[in-house]
Amino acid sequence: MARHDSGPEELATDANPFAPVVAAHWDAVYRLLYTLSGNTHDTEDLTQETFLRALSRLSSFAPGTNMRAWLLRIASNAFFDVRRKRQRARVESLSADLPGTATPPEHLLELAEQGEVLKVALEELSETARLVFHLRAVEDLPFREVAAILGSTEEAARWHMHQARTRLLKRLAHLKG
Amino acid sequence: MDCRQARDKLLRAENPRPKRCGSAELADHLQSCAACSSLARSLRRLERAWRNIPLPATVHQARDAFLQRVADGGWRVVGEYTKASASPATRHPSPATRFLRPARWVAAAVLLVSAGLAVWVILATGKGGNDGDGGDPLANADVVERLIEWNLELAQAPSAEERKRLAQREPELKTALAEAKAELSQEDRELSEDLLENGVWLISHDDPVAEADRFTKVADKLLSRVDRASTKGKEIEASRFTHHLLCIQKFGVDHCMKKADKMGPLNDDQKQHLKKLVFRNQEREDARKSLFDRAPPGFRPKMPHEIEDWRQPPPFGPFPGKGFKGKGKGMGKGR
Repeated sequence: MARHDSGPEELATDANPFAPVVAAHWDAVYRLLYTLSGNTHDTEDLTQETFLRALSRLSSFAPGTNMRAWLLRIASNAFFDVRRKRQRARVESLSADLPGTATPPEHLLELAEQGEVLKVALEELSETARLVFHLRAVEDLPFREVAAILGSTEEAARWHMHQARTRLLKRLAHLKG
Repeated sequence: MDCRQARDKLLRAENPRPKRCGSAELADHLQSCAACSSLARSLRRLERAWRNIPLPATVHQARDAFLQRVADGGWRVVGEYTKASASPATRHPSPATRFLRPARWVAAAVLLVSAGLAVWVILATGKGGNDGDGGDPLANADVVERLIEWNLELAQAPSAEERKRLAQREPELKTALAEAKAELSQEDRELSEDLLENGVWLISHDDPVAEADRFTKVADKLLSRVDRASTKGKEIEASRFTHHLLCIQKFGVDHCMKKADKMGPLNDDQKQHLKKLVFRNQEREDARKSLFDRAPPGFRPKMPHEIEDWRQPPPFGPFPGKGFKGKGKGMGKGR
């Protein structure tokens, strides 16, 4: 993928070597985790966790490869790790927050409504289907990279996308109808 | 490409835009089909809407707080994190965990042994059942396969004499079916009876169009078996019936259609009939492919791309030891 190519220089352009990385990719990581967890509390914790993990494992990042995809992979692993722990501990996740509560509603009202409907529909998908849909729709990652993040095959990623699109369209038709 | 195939491709496509969907055939279809083009537009809108959902307002506060924390703590923050999240192998387990760890292993071992015993009991007593309808799909495979084989041999018979010779197997097959009936599931019983009746009909008829029609009906039934088995996640059964379906299609339906084509001028009824069969067979083939494509990646009926000989045994997945050959009188025997 060419959109987010980066190298080690991206990490060493500042006295605080992580600031540019955090600034460049925070929103993307946050958005993915928000899609997966559905609430701001978990999202914030997991986003911090993702960057801390990334910083502690910088040596495993291959220079010249896609930094964004690498971070998103760490983020999805962090999410699934927490979910597994919670399943073991039987701790329920916090209830979902509404997105965009501080966004000026004037011209975004329709979009926000649409977004809420979409969010409801997306929550009904499996976490994997949600992850694939997000990585394709928002990050524009090719299925090859989506598969690498999932730790599965490209065909499996396509299948999850098929499921996500089919269910979302059906659900939206139902919600809007 | 028809609309069903186009939609399936579109839903799997990396990008639903006609120019970026990655398939010239799909792009052409989208140019000419308003319904599919509308679906592509809906997909684009759906993805755009998701991209445009605003992030929670706290996103940047959280980022700034994190950067501040790193700035204040420097590498220590990362160091503390690394220590705190050391791999489970290096982490010291709490006393409770130390106590529970062997217990977990014991529980896992007990479960494993119980599962193994259950499988052994089921296999040894032959009471595996097929949805509780009384049939073991593998044990009963033999008679179904023998009947399919007989039908295909009759269809392929080059002369009336050869058909007469093959007709001599009818009593033997009838007996085999009568003996196996009690063991067969309801579906296998019906399929076997249809195949026997079909074989008897083939002995006394030589009309390729009508023969193709009969094989088409058998193929339809086999496809519905594949569909049901796939839906229930029965990989062995799905693979077995996929194999039979491909054999019936190639050596039954296709063979008879080619024979009809070579036969000389057909009357209007036959032409009309043949057209319907071509259409019906295309529909079924599309349905089969779509069924295969829809199956989850971890579950696909195992089948070869091309069947060379209907006598080759179908794939049986996790029970390679059981099959027709093991029964001693299945496909490939007696030739």
